[in-house]
Amino acid sequence: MATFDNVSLSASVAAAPIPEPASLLFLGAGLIGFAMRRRRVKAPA
Amino acid sequence: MLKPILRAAGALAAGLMLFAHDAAAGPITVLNPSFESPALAAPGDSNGPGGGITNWTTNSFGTSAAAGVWYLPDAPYYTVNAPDGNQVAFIYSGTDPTGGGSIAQTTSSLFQAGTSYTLSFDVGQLALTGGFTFPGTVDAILYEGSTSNVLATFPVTAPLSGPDSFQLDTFTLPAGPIPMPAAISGSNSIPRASPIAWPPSTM
Repeated sequence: MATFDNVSLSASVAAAPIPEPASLLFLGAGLIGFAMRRRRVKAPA
Repeated sequence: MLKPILRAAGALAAGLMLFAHDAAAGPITVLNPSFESPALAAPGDSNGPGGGITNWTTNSFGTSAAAGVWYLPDAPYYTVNAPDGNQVAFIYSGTDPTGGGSIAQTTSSLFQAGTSYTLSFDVGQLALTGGFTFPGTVDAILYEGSTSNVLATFPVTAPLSGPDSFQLDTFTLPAGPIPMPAAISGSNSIPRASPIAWPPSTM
């Protein structure tokens, strides 16, 4: 014997991934460029 | 179409199935979710076998199996009320070793990609000891023209408070990538230790 009551089927939409702000990409590129410039300055002539 | 899966779950299978097939957005509505229709007259009444459940299709695998609605309480089987409303659905395996069955409903909604679904229902355990034993199983099945693509299998647990009680079981299907006709199917197999007289009374 199986007895059931109160059946429900609910939906839940998964949250969309939050896009990374473009400003972070610019900041990262700037830091890399700064580091490369410093290495070039320190290199022996 | 579902029999191979149900029988794989157990010789004595009882099931609860929901199918979604149309392309419609929004929440999925379950009709007659508390089995209040057809309405019975008084506590202790039941309409099985053959009485049917409004908006649900019933399927029995054995000659003595039955499914229908039951107005609680009905001592000594249940002394508690139905969790919601007056009535519950029952599936009785009968005295046939190949007994068991299922109830099913086709909804008007399509399972959408990127959406998870939570199926919940109250499961009851009779007050009588030795009649029926948990656990059974619930299978959640993604349907793409056949029921061979099983997403997950969930265990049905006996009410923690013991016999003569109901417990809300909740199962969540993870979001899938397939926005096409789909189905969710639940079945449980509950071994029967010993048959009991049924139905206790009919309307």
